[in-house]
Amino acid sequence: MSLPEPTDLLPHRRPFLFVDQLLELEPGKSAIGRWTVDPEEPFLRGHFPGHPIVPGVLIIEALAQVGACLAAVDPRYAGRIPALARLENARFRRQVKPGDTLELRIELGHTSASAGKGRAVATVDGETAAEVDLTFVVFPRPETVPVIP
Amino acid sequence: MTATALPPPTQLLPHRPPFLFVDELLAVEVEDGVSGHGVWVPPPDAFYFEGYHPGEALVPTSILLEAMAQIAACVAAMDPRFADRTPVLARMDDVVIHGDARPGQRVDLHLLDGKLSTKLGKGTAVARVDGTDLAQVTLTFVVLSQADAPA
Repeated sequence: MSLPEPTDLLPHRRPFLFVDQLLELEPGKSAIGRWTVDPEEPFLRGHFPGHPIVPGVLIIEALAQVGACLAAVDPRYAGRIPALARLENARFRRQVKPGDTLELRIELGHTSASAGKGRAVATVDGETAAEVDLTFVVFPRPETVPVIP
Repeated sequence: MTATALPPPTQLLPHRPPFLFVDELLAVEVEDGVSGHGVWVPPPDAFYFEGYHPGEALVPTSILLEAMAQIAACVAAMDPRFADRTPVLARMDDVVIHGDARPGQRVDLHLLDGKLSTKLGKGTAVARVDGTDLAQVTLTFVVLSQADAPA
């Protein structure tokens, strides 16, 4: 099965797109994405000068983006945009450096028609770099919101 | 401590633009528990506005969380016991996201009820715009001596 490109599913674009490719996508269940950190990423200039390290919050962002890809192919959320509402148990366990490839995996837990939870883990070379429990809510697409004159 | 006596964030943090999200510290209390208040105005030409929902400029939640972690790290660095140490973010818990900041808005960053030990720092941070909460997070840092800090 050929998988969609992340840009087919997400509104995010470079330099704030942190999923290069989707490796697995099981609607309603799980997804795996991959991100290889480009040494030219603008955030590395400031985090930190002389010793670039991927900020932990951007690993969480990358995991959330894979979660948003998963929501985008879920028939229950068709045509709607997920937004992060809560994070729990975010843990940062390993430094990630330019050139590292992250495997970004999310498994959905409880979901409803308007919200869902997922457990997300980012690994580098099989070692956990960061993990988090995400809760998202699903809003209508802005263009479908009726315009009140 | 008054704002006039407070150092710029670049004296307290290793972070630099475009990944520095505290413009100025307004208040720091390290005597009886630690707390602090800083401000940040996201500039309209920031890199994260280019690619996050292009056409609708919003501060990504992940960047807002980083700003809240940076206010906490600034306050920790003001504690004399940690002057030569580096706080590294280990955990974020109880993150609740209510809304988004927009380019040019003044974002008030507060660290509340912080606690520091010789190895750990913990506290709750809140980001507000016009007095309305945008997000809150409970942060845990491990505190490394310079010798252990990331090279």
